Amino acid sequence: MSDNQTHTLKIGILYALFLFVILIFLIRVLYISLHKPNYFTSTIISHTNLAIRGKIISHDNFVIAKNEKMYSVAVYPRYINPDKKELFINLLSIYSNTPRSTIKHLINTSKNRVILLKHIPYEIQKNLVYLSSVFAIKKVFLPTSKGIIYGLDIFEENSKRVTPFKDRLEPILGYMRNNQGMGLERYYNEILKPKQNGFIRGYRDVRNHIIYDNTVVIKPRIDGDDLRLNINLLLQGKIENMLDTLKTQLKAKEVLTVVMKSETGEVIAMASSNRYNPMHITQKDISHLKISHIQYTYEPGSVMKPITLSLLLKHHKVNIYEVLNAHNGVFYFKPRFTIYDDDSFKWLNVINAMIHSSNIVFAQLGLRLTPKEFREGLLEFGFNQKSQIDLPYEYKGLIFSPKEFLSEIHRASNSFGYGLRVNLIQLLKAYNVFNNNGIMIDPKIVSKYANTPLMHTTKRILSAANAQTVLNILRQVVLKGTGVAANIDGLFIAGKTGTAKISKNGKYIKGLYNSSFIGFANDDTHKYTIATLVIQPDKKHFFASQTAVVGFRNIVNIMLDMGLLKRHLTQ
Amino acid sequence: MADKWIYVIVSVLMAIGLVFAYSLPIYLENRFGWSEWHFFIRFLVFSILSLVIMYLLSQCNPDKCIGKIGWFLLIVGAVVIVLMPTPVLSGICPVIKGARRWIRVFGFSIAPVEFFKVGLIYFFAWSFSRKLLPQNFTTLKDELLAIFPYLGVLGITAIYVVIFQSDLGETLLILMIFFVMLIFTKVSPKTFGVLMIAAIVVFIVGITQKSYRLERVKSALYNIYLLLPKPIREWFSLDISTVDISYQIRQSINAIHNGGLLGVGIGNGSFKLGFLSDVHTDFVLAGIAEEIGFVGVFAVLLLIAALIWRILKIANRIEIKTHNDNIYKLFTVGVAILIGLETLLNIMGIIGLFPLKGLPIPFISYGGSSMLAFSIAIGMVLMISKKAKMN
Repeated sequence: MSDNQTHTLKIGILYALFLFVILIFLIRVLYISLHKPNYFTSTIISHTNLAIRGKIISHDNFVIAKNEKMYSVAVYPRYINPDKKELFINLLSIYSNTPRSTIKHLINTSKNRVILLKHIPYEIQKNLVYLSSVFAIKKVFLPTSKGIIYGLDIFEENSKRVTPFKDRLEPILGYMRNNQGMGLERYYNEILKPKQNGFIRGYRDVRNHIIYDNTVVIKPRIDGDDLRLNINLLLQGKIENMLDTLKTQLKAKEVLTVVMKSETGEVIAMASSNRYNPMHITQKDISHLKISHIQYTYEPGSVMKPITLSLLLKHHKVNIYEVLNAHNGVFYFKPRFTIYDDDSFKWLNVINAMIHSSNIVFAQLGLRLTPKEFREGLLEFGFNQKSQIDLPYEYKGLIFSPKEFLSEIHRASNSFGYGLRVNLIQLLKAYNVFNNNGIMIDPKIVSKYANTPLMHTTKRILSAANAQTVLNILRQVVLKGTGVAANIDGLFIAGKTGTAKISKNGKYIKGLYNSSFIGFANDDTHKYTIATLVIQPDKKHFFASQTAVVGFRNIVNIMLDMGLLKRHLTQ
Repeated sequence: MADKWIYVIVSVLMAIGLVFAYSLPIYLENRFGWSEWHFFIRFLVFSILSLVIMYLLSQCNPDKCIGKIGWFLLIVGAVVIVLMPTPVLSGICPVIKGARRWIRVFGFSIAPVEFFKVGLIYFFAWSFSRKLLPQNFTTLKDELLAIFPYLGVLGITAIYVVIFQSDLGETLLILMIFFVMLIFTKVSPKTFGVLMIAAIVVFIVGITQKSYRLERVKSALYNIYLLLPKPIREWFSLDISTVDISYQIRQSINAIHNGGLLGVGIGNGSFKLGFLSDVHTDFVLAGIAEEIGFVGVFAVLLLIAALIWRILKIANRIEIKTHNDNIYKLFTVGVAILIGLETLLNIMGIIGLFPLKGLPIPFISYGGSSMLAFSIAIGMVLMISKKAKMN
């Protein structure tokens, strides 16, 4: 062979070798492209961002209830580098503010996934995210056989409902747990509840950033809507403190009150002495879960007299100056049915009958109404039906059936507030008619949600003149009668007391009373309707003038202090 | 006339490289806040520069130019490499990844060893044609004595590149080029065998000096072992649970798998997003495999095979009339070996069958020095091609 031919042969062999190696490579690549390697990790990831429940915000911009995101931290103890175990425990203990012993105990319980920390708030979660990068640098976690590193797994828990003001506005605010609940939380659950969890799935880079290309799937996180209340939380707080004191003084079962703007129906305070902290509901709170304003019905007693009067005025069946026989305080109306007055008078005109709260006069007046007029009148004033306040599970009370109304005894009893059961909000709503020129308006606690203001339906049920007449008489009650203790100089105060016996199993029990005062406090620019109820004060002071009226007066004083009412100095 | 086909193939390879210089390094650009055109523009500038250099070199007369260029690359390359660790040049040679491999001049990083390799190929061609081609040796001792000076040169080169630049890959490449070029002299198979054994011993010593090199070799052996048929593997009964495939190889194989036969589409790759480091340089073929699949890789390798075929054809068609023609022939073969070996070492590296990384795919991988060095080599081959009878 010549040099040239050997040369060509060598080149040929070399090139064939080259092609052979290329072929091996291509076969291997073909194999890899068709067979998934056992360590293959997908570059697609997904994240869920849990939506949270809406906030509840007072009129003075305090957040009364909100959800806080909580996190848990899990770890696989078997992947913790044994040499770095102490470092791991020490750092995690410092960053999460957890005792070392707790962490140590937990990672020694199992080799598999262990949840080390629960209910971590967002601030600490941020620190732990940083800590996990420190662990990565310090190589605290050993890789698996597939080369995957399982470090700190920080994941989102269901968020937790937090009420920063503890028991304030309870039980009105209520709670919501496992589809059961009370108060505003229950009533507005559909508005408040989270609408849609955020979700994203797509290709990621090595640092787990999602690539926003056309393959990415995104569902936005839609939280529940916030509720904005009419409640003035400062006022609410002061009233609640006052009620607590009053309850202790009177040794009452419960003291309730509602303050509403007369012209708009906005409830600016609604308080009870019996409250609970929704974050820690205990056995002894169970009786406090009930919202007595709408769930406690009782025989109202004398506070019904203005309603009876307004029905008579409406049907032109009374002249307020006419004089009726007051029977010297004892009226044998029917066999086995005698009516008593606390103060005895021979004769009383209608105004004075109201001032001195004469059951005897009102029994006679009530009988002037036909059964139909009386019953429909009560229905029109909102009794025996839900008050339309935005709270769930209202008890609508009870009035006599049309047939029962045929009885004169029943009608006479109704005239001064016995023989029917009402709740405090129904009374508030009915009384508000007198302070709002004869127009009835639905009380509402919430002012708006999702930027939609709440509608208050209104309805005229009394002429403005008649409403004014009743209001003026109620003013006299405060100036001269049973409500004297409520009067405050410089304000227009009016209202009616009621001290009603409590019946159990059809019998009135001696010494058990409910004491109410429904009244008005107006200045030049504001009009408020305020209802107060003391349930079962002790025997020493059961008269409304010593109980409910005191509550009313205290509230008006608080409102004066806060500038919600201003004295008219020239009056 | 210089060979047109080489020019065309190189241009196509560069065009492919340009597309992937835009697509692949997006994660790096993003992380360092560079423009998305950062690598594209640089690749484009170097490509144009390379094409111009190739064209200009192809116009020269080989008898006048080859020697000058060869000696220039060899001597300047050697001097620079020697001076890099000394105070003369160390100021402009930053330590990158634990080694001083680059000189920073006017904002560009130059790897002198790339140019030095081309110079060395010329030196081997020049020297072999003088010392080893003309006479027939009679004894093994004579042959070994004749080869001994080369071993000195290789030894010094290896020491410098391995110790001061910590680059075993380039050293291995230079050694392999030397041995393959030696085949084209009249050295007897016996001598060749002795030298090979010596080289393997030296290399094993080199590998065991650094633990990461040993790990890589183990990993490669493991990968080769996995390719064996099952009965043979069972016969070996190795405990392989302790052997770990390196992160980069795993990601490279993941990327190839994700690409499948046809790829996920140019720009749609996801393993380039930080999983595959050096995706625009050493692992460019894995990135290409993900985006245009097996078919794309096949096409790239076909082009490189065609390029080498064309270069070897030129070498084969040179008629030996003068002493220079021997140099040309050996040099041309040397360039084919350089391109072929770099490609093979790279592709075997990315699937973990060869324990090496850091070598580029010619004209596809991003890297100005290597591209310019390859262009100079190709330009010199084009210059020589005028002497070959291609038809």
